[in-house]
Amino acid sequence: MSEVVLEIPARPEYLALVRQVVAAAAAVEPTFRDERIEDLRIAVSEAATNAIEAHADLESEERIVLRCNLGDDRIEVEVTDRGGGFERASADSEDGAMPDPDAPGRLERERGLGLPLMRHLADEHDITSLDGGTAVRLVVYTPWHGRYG
Amino acid sequence: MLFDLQVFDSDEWVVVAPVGELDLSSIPQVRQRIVQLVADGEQRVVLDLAGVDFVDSAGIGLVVMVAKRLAAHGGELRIAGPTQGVWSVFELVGLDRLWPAHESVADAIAGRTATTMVPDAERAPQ
Repeated sequence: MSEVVLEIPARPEYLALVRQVVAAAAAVEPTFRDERIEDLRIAVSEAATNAIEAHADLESEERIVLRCNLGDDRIEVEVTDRGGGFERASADSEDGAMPDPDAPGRLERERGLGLPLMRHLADEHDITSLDGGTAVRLVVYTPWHGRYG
Repeated sequence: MLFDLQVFDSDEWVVVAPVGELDLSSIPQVRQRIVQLVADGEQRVVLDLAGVDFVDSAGIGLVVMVAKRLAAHGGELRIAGPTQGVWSVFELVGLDRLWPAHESVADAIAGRTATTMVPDAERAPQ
């Protein structure tokens, strides 16, 4: 795998850079369709936004690390923060399911859409609680995935 | 990343037009401006998304907040001009069922709902 690592201050103004790096890393593999790269850009933006907000909650000065690994059939992106662990991530949405837009009180949920979007847009995602932080791994497969397996 | 926010009156509506990417870095500016507009008595707001080329859940959250705040003051939010790429995020979270997209600001003010979306130049056909 070819790895690209980006380390950023935990500030919102670096989100655009995160998205640019992820899109550029994915575009190295020419079989990725533009809409899948866009899916990945949004999913990674969600993970990085959660990380930045977690750092802000703790007033942490530590940095957020983004690792992009481009494989033959996939791109994996891991966003690692030092923002306090899994509890706040899981509190974002109880099960990561997309909320019903017609449910009573739907508009009370102006937050909490990040995890459902990540789940929907990435082919795989998992969230790992670290010691004092969280790692979110997002995977998008190329159209070639599994074709010769 | 450049971000701009244009605000102008059109008929009885105030048009709020962000230009750039709508994410955690840009939404405080938009939120602050709209909160001020509502505090000043504006009740009818068109959010013109034609110049927005990226939105994530933070941006979606902003739209929900604006709609709630306007509704609490007896007002109304209409959404105009989203590209297909931006509108697909609204569709993913189901908010297209709460607010129809209007193709342009003029359509939003007239209450004409879009039948086809604005083509998204950034999205190649499959």
